[in-house]
Amino acid sequence: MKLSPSKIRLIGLIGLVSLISTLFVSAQSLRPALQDLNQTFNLLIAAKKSALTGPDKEKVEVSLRQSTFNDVIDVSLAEIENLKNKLWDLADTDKYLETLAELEKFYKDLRSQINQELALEDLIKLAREFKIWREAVYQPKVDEIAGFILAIYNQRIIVLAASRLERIKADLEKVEEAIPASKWSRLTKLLERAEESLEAAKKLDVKEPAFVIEKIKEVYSYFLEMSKLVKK
Amino acid sequence: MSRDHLLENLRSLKKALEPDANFLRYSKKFILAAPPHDPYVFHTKNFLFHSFKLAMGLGLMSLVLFIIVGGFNPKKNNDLLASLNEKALLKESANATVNIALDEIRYRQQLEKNIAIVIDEIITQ
Repeated sequence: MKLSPSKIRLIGLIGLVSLISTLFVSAQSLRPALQDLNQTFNLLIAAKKSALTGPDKEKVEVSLRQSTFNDVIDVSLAEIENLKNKLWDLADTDKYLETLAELEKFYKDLRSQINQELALEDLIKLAREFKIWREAVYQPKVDEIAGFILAIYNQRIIVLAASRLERIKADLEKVEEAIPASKWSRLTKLLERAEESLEAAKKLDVKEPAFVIEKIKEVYSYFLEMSKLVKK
Repeated sequence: MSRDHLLENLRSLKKALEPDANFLRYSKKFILAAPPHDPYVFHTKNFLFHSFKLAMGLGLMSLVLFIIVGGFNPKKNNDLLASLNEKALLKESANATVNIALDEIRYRQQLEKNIAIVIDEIITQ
């Protein structure tokens, strides 16, 4: 089935809006877990500075370290859930969903270990191992999945800008004779520059969203210049 | 009815129809006081009215000629504005280039730093 340009444009826009809205959810859904973590973290620091000594101090500190550790796990689980929600709307995500399920299982197992009766030394040892695992395993995997989602986002904004470029081209062809030669020459130059920037955006690594967005910004700045020129 | 009798009737009828002397005097005076009508005398009001009519006619004719010659084609202009409409472009550009993707990356980086600080606090005594 061949889709008309207007349908492609509509699908592109719907896709972009839905992706933007899911990205917005990110910070929102993590907020409660982060608030809890912030509270327990401050309590842990206060307990360390307190005048408590001996077994009482160790008991309080172990308890607060356990709570803080649990809150770190909650934040990580919320982050995983977030990524899973974003992946549901996209195609070819089975591999990533499996990875997230494995990470989720790791965190749940870790929680059961943390909540056992542990001496301060054991808890610290567990935290050290966790830090190494998080940097070596968890973070690279999560970054890969986030990169995959952002690559799709970039592809969609490129499609949107390309569709706009085609519409402008078609409109200019219709009114070519009505536009004075000097204005026409400036318009076509701006259109060429927009095309060049768009091509550059397509060639960039989609995992580099900053560069892609900069190029797309350039494309739209040329379009806006054309719009002003046409009004004159 | 005799001829004399008929004449007598007509005379009395004429007398009854005749206007009153005062009315006759007043009417004569009024008619004589009125200015004589001359179609060639200049009147400012008429001049302005006729000039306005002429201007309107010429204006309408020019507009029709302008449209026929093709100096104004609303369809062409609208088509052009459809894809280069400034408002639509600004909105689309803002949607496409909103730094949400970059914000997401920065947010993740910041989150990771914060989590590392918290874990360090759990580790250190």
